[in-house]
Amino acid sequence: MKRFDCLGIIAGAATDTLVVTSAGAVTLEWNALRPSDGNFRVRTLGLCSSIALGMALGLPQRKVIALDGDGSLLMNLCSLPTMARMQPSNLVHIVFDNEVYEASGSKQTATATGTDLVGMARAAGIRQALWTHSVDEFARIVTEALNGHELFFIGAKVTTERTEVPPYPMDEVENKYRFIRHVEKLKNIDSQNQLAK
Amino acid sequence: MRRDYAERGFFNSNNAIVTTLLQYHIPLLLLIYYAGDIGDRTFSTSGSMTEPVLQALGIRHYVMREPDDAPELIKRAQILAEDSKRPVALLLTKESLGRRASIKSL
Repeated sequence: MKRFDCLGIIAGAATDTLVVTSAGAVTLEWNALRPSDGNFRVRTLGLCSSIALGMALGLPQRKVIALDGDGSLLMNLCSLPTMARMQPSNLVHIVFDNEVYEASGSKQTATATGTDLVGMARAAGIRQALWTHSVDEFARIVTEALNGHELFFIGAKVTTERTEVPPYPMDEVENKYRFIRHVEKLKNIDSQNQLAK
Repeated sequence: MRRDYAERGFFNSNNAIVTTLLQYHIPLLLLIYYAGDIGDRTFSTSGSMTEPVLQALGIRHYVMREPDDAPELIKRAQILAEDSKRPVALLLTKESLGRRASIKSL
């Protein structure tokens, strides 16, 4: 499977969902497909899953999607038992496993030699942990996850092929403020009045 | 937002502190155990690194010794964190955590 094709499916199904993206090309590809103030870009490997978990717990009425990679998740495997322990019913954790550290020269990750991230998620206690093997299957499972009320961990083995897309249009501080204002708008919070109090 | 840390939890959190709190200008109150304090028989080596690492990260930090000081110090540290858009650390001694060391037992 090609990651960009999978992202296109998510973009079609999740038009206004809050999305946290891992460091790397997945962020740029996702933003090209679905530019939105509801996108939060993580700038380091490992923290996508943890930040998305915190967001899902803090915003229980909103669906949150984490777009993660194998290299990133391998740097923060302890997020799996934490997610399983908290069981946020509004979190969909999607891992694109291309078996390499793409941004730093495409050295192999542990998944290239047999580490099974979905197996690890399941063993951590995430019941809906599934590999998807085709774009059609990916679309079906993502739709099920977005319409469901249960924590999902979806693995997708993808090629290392990258799609040429524009650079990210803002720095991280602007991303933070735009994301916060977006969430406040969704929750009908007036931050200026909050500060005045 | 508030988080509790042992001092090794703080060391383990350095990636997140640098790439998220500092990079995104996110205020956070860090409550870190002040390990390696005088009278403390544990963690003297790692404890001696806590303040130099905080210094290197540019994180303002204050030692809290008396439990009675907690409400005011936490309130003030939270104000500084929110105003500076940066993390601020309170270093908690055993005494401040309510485990007052007996001088006789040292």
